Amino acid sequence: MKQSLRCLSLAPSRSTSPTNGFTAASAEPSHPYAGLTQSSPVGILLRLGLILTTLLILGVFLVLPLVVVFAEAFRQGWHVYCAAISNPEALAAVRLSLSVTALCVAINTAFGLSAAWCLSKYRFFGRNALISLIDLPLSISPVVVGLLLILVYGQHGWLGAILERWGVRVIFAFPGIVLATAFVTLPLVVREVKTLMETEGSEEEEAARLLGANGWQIFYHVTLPKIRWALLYGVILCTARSLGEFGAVSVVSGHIRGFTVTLPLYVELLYNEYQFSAAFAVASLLTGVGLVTLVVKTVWQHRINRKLNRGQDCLFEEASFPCASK
Amino acid sequence: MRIEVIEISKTFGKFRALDRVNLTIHAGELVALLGPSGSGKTTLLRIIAGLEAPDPGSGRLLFDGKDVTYRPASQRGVGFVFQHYALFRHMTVYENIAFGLRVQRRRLRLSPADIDARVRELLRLVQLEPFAERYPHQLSGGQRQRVALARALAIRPQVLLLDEPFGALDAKVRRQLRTWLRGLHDEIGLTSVFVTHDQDEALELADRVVVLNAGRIEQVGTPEEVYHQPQSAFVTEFIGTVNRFRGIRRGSRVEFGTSEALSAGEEVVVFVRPHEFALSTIPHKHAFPAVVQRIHTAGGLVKLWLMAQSGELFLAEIDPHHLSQLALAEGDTVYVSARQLRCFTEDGQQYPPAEPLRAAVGQ
Repeated sequence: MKQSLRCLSLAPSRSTSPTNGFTAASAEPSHPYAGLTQSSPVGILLRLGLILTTLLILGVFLVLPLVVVFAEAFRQGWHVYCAAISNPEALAAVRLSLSVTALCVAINTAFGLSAAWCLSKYRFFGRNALISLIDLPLSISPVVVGLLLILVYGQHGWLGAILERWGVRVIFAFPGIVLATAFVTLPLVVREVKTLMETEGSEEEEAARLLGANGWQIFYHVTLPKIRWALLYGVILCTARSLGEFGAVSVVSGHIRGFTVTLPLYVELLYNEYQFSAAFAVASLLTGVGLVTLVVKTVWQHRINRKLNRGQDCLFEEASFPCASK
Repeated sequence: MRIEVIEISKTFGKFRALDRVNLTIHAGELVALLGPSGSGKTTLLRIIAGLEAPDPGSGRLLFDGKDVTYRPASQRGVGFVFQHYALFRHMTVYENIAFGLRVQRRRLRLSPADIDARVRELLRLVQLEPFAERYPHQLSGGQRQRVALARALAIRPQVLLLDEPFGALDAKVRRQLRTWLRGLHDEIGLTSVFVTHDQDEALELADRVVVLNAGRIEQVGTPEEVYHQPQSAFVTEFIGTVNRFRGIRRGSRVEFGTSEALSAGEEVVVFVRPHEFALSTIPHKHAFPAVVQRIHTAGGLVKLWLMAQSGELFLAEIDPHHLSQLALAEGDTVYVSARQLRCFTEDGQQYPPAEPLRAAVGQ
């Protein structure tokens, strides 16, 4: 599902650039295998085979589990479903997950924008090291992240002892969960935005600067509109990942019911207690959020593409341009 | 506004893009920075705009005598047109042009009505009134170029800088815009500097041409001076079509185009433009023999590809009438002398200094 999201997100950012938009509209490149797949019998077989394989894999890996989640959730009827998601513990889990997600998205958006800006606009010593470092959360196991946080912020950790003296509790509490989630989702916004900023270059920003705009005006009027889709995509990824984060949160949360149990942890809790219907009910909530996100994004995308295409219909009627030789 | 560049250098890592450049651009001039890619012409333009800073302590930049070396780009009041226009793609043509007026500090900002009037005026100037509500991607290259120009002019700059302004346009639009830009420059009375690698563009459009090579200024002069009195081998080769020969100077005599041992004398490089050759079917004292390789008659002048005895292939241009008098065919031998030539010693000194040789000096 991640892959398909990624493809969707690339479409508008490409067509917003003027030259590419033009080429896309005027010359749709013919598919390199078009001849093969449409004429010869071998081609037809190949095509059928590929389509069937793809459908099979998608069905087994994506559609089937989705169906199972909802089927299991409603197996004992609406009543049980509603009870499962409306009991106080479930509501507490929802509230916790939502507030953690909101905080993480805010943190990562702020961090992502500034890091992407600094990495794409400036060349400095250690830049490459920093780029690799930003990807670190993607390459180490979330459980390890959780353990590291305990080592640093735990009661006997380096910073934990000091914080404890001030009465701030990080591990087995809300701040720890936010830290763990933010750490794991750190690269998501940066990566999307940085890639776009690098391909777009900074000539528009330079133009704005020469026209007298100050830093904030350049960011707000020029950079932000340019990167908004990449940013939105990063935010959506970050939201989805924050809501669903399990490993790192599981280590630092302490599983205190009604206090530090997020939605994914709650699903596990219920499942381990053999409350399958309730577990699937809560899981269906998470799945539902994911699906809604996907739909919203697709619809949005579609609308933008249509707007862009409509714009291109009335292209290139070069006005008669008399030479002004006064 | 007068622009003075004094001893400015710029290094990128180990690459020296500009090496102690000195240049004065007078108020109201239209100046071309001409050079091959990597010669530093765009860097110089970006330093004048304030988009690059010169190497610390390397030199100074003066606008009307005032030091602006460290004045930020946003406060230089310079109009800049980028090679690929850099229009704000999410804004309409109207909004693009209005941008510079709208981001002014409140104290200096025009009223919305005045901004509107100014934008309308500029739209009229660049003949894009019907396109005000279009987005950049809905415009052709030439139209985008004019939007970029209008946007740069909106803030009433005293200096207009253009980076390869016609580079991305097709030949016909390019020629139209060239004439139009010249008219516009004269009408508004700006000081304009544009960067180009196209010598025709520079020679045709500019009051003065600055030829750059490898971070240094090779020559500054009017198009006529640069074309007819190039001061270095580089300028001679870069401007116009020219044939290059190895030669020997002995006193006031220069020999080239011959296969005989080039002995006893100073080695020089000899440049002759295609139209500066005199061809004859009869051998004479100042001419060297050459074999006609190919005759190309399409066009106003006849192009002859000739091979000298020294093995050097060169191009001569004569008028068709002359060709029929000579009755030449491919494979014939013809005697070639130069009506005019330029001669540079190996260390780049011109011989004789400043004056092109008028006498025909062949073998």
